[in-house]
Amino acid sequence: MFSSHSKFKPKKNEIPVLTTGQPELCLLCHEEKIPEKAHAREVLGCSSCHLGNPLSPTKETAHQGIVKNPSDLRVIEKTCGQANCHPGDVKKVRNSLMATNHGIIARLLLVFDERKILENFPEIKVLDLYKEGSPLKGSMALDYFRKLCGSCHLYLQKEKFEGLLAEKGGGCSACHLEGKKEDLKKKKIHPGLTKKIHLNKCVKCHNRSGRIGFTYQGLYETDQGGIYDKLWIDGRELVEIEPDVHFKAGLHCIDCHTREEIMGDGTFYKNIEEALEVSCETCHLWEFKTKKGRALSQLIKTEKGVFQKRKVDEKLLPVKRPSPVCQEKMHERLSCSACHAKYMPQCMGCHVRYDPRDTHLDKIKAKETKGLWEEHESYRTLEDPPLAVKNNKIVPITPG
Amino acid sequence: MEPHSTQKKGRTCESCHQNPKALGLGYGKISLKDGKILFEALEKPQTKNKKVRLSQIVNLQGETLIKFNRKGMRGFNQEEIIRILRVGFCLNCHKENSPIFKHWKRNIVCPKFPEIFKAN
Repeated sequence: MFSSHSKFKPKKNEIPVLTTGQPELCLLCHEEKIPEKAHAREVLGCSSCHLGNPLSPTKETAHQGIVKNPSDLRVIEKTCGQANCHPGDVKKVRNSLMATNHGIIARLLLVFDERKILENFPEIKVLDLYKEGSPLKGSMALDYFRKLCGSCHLYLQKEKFEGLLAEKGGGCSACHLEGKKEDLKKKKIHPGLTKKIHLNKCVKCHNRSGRIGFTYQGLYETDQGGIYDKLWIDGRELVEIEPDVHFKAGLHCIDCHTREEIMGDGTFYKNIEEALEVSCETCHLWEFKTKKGRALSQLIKTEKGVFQKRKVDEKLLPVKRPSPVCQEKMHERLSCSACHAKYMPQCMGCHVRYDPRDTHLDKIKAKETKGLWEEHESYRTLEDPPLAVKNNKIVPITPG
Repeated sequence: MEPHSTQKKGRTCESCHQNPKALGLGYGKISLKDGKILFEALEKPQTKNKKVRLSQIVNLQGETLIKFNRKGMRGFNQEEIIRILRVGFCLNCHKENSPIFKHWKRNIVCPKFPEIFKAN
């Protein structure tokens, strides 16, 4: 069965077979265990996800065409999105804002007064920046994106980076992967996949600009150099503040935000505001349906009232209705958060400096290129949010 | 943007009705002179536009001075600013749970300081 010149030395004598009856010769060598049932080794083997040639007897031919990261959005039709797995999610995820970053890119083009690019590429997305010989070359706005924003999107090729950057991006695995590289190397435990996404995964990206990932869990990125309670992974200094009540109730981001808001619903949205559909009222006015008419399965109506089921541990929490004071006519134009949002980090006077002599890591090209961007702010505060009017509703706002 | 800092207890009356920063006027001091509401800014303008401070969104005339990045957004207009600040003057004497706020009427007259309600 094995050619005489092959260096391949099988560890087993029997031909491994999956539960489907398909032979999977990869398992002759690969003994890694997967700590979850949905993607169990005996069900999927290696090739269902990592491709290659599972019927080939030599390492060289077996490894032809394998992909290290099956959830890279460039290959997901063949892997996660194949017919028997998650085909419905391919278009949705690729059109999600986490994959396109359209809102961020479009905003930068307007701020840098490069409106022409937006007119020529009205649906510009992060994948366009990966194309060789792109007509988008030479844009300062896009250079800024590549260097300062370009690590927080699903197309990031995480395998080309180290540290925090290696934990972001990479398609589905950006959020769903659980496990450590060391466990794979030393204990032969392959990372597993989970639907129960901890907020720490989300906060790896959602920690800049409005800094909601920090504020939610009771952390504020202080500008008082040297006086802090915690250091963030990237060295930023954080002080502890009162967390959001939903955090104190043990709710993760996925407990409020729907699958469609996060992973997309197939629509190419222009910005996050268009994509969002839950509001305070969805739960607290017991509306059960989002702005887009989608039912929230985590809300459960009983004789004792409405409860929310936490997605991570399935514990039920009572969903309280607003107090009578919230219903008073004199404040009817106030959004819930106009009153109930206690803090809002406010960066006043954002400005950037560009030094063409220095270099900066381009997260799209994964290499240092000419031109260093540095962000500065005049001052930062954590105060009661300022208010403004949006479509006749009073809402909290922050510069950014 | 939803700040994700929800607390069970809402913000105080003063945090809006006596706070020029929350209304978008920026850091400064509100006062009343001859029945007119005045605002004295504490910040100096730092941008090319010498009429705008970094903490500012609107002026007392209710003109929005900044660009919003979402459709349908504006700062408070003059009528709204005055209405909000009038309540703030009352809060100098009356507590949050006072009956005058529970039964608030826009044309209410303060017998001690009638000029408050003639303001602007």
